[in-house]
Amino acid sequence: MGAMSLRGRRFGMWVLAGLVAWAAVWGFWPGDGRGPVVQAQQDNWTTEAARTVGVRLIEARDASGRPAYPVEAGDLLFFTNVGTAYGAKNTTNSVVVINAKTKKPIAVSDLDPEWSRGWTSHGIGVSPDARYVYLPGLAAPKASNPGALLVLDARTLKIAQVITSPAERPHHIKNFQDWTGRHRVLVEDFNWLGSGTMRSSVGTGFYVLDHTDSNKVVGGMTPNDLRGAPYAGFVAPDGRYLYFSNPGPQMPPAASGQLKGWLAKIDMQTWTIVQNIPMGAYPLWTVFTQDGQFAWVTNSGNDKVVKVQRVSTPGPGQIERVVAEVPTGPGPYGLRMSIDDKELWVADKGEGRGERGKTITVIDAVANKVKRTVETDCLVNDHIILSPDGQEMWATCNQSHEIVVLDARTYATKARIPMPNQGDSHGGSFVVYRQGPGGLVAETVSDLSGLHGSARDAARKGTPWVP
Amino acid sequence: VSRKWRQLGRAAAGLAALGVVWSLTFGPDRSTVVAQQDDWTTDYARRIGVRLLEARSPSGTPAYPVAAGDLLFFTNTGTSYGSKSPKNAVVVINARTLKPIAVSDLEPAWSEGWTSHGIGVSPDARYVYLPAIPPVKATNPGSLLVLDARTLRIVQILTTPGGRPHHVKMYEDWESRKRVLVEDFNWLGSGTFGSKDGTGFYALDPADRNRVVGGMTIGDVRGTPYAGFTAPDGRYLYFSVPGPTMAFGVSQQLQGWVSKIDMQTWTVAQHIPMGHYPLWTVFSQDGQWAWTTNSGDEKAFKLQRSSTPGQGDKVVAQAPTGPGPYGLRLSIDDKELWVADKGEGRATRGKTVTVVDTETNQLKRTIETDCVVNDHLILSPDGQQMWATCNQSHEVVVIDAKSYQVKARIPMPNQGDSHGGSFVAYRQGPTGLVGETVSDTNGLHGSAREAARKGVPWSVTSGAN
Repeated sequence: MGAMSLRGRRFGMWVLAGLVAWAAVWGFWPGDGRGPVVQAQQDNWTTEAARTVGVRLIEARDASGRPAYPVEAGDLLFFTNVGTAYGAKNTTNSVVVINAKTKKPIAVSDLDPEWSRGWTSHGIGVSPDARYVYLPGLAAPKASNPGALLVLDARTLKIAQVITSPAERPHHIKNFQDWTGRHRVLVEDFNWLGSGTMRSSVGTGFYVLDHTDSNKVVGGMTPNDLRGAPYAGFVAPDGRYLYFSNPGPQMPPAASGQLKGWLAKIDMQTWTIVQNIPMGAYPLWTVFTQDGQFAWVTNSGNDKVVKVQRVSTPGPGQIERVVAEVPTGPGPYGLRMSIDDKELWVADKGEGRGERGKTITVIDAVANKVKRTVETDCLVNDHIILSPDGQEMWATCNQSHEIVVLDARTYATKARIPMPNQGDSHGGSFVVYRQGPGGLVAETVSDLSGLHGSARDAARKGTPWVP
Repeated sequence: VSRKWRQLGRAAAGLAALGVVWSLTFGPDRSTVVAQQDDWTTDYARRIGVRLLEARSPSGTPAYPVAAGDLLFFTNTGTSYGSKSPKNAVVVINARTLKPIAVSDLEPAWSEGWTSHGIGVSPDARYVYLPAIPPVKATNPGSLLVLDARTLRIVQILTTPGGRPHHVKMYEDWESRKRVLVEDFNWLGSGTFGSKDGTGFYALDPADRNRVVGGMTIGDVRGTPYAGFTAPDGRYLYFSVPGPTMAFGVSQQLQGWVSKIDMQTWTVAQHIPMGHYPLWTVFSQDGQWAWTTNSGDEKAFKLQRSSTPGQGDKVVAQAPTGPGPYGLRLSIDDKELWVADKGEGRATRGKTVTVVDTETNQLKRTIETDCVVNDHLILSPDGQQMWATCNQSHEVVVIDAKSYQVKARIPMPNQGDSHGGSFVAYRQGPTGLVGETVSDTNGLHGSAREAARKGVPWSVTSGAN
């Protein structure tokens, strides 16, 4: 047994030596550095769509840790951002979590300085399952890191992924449900020509993430594909058509009314444009009625909103057209329909104007007339987000560094929520928490793109939404 | 069994050791695969996506005779606009006798059923650039065919992402380098002139094997670049941007703009708001003024160019034109703007040229040319004639630039559709015959431009006298 063992060991040594030598011949020898074959790192994140749009995952981190705030079943939270622009005193680009019932901030992210100090954001998003928060990171002037979309764990508020794009100017993030019922996240960059915080000679366009699959890119289009500078996109209730505003190559000629823009209607099954709908100057935001029959679009350069009659089945001769236009306050930006689709709320931001907007124009969406102007004193109000029960409109105020909560029926200001560190807030998402079979389950129920999930279902049925 | 295994093991080890020696001795060489050397593709070519698909020997028998003192006009004949021509071709016309003297005969795979809506000649008249838009069932991609100008044989084939080459024009840049500008059709959509992928435009160096030395993509412009023209300073390129689809501009649904591009940096210096469907631009010789067709409005806009840094160019006047104006040309003394009333995007087929007084900005006269669907006007290098290319009446109409009379009609061989052209003058040089492109769809060039700027007569033999 012993002799056999020795012979076996000798034999084993020879075989091992032979294998090692053979491996060296084939270039796998780790030490010599001259091996002809270099084993590439496996990139299983980059999809064909990511390659087309130029989106890259530059970091993936372990975002586990202690939760940054407590939650329990029945909670309704509002996630917003605070940047360092618009006269903000805030020094770091952050996520702010607000208890939507008490209307008090309960947490602020504390990200690494090289990804946040002096950086800013003009938008924010939360994935449909509220697992991720997407914080745009517009780089500080002397930053060594590129402008990037920071994907945070929504519970720990730590960075889970860092995603870059050719322009490095992430702007808005919105959820949508596509025509097959899949939940997706739309990310759009600033695509203005030029240089500076919100401009870039290289444009990105927009892209779509699958948050259930490591935020892989599953679609998108470039400025080249659109033949323009895409600004903001919104998915129609059918989940198939995406309406993207194209205001022109630069903001000044658009905002001053020198150029007219258009709205590209995109079929997301093929990522092709099925119609370019002529607009006025500086088209920006789009909202849809719940039945999908009408859309409203801000034409900011004209201080107007236009109403578009949609066609149910696109085809030859089936053209969507503007059927009405209604005046607004100065430089309108974001839009929101009331829960019953009878009113259109317009954020009179003062976009591209000398004056800072501080009103909301409420339009009768049936008569197509101004119903009232609400004095909010929410300075430079870019976005309005409907609470999931449809009872409140949350207005984010870039320059007065607060969120103003309005009663959607009485138009009265219900609350003013000062932003931590006097940062500038630009939109947000409502997230509800419920007890599920395996623990706490979260759902994003409203954001810049309107109501989602259970809140949308309730609104469509005309029944009260239950958290 | 055990001994056999030991022997096998030793043999394997021996072979492996031999392999190690071989690997260490010859390994690095074995691991290197030498790629084919591509010394044509520049960074600009890579960025815009322009590829040299084929390079061929240009040698052969000349396709036509030339002698010192000759003035030739190179145009194209395509297979569209009701053309009877079965092939896309180059036509060479003797500009004195006003007769065609040669037609290219390219291989069917690159010409039969193919079409072109433009043509260009390199500054030294060595190359002819024939856009080649493929028929539906072609297997070859839409390409720019670079022909030897003397043999009319293919020298190079260049492809682009859009695969829809449109116009080719020469220019001299701010450092007096002669370049060739190529622009694709960049419309969205599908079909002969539309494509999902667009190209933009690019600049070739004809002195260095037509390598790409500049250009921009559609994304760089954030719009659909249509037609570009270089200002007399050679630094700024004015590119019309009419909108993502043709119908949009023609039907006055969307305003366009002109992108003023700094060619030193290939960045947009100014966006000049236009009316509907801006297309063609021309400049006065002193560079103070530009005129741009606003085809959707049936107008030409006059631009005052800024000479003060920080101040932009601005529209200062508008002049009416005929239906669907397309190409423009200034008279040799800059006093008249000639407008080709093509009928672009209209049911009416244009057959007039509108002449505008450039000082009063008023309509001066309308010339009935019967040049049906006239897209381009090319000024003869002596400034005495305007050559109008007629897409649908398949001819070139020569008009006296002073009397406005039609001097000649040159039917296109095979009744093909002609879209622009270039005048080439031949002179005796120290080592032989020298060709010079002196006028094309971008205006006068070389000795003809020099003569016009000096206000002296131009002649083929001596250039600027």
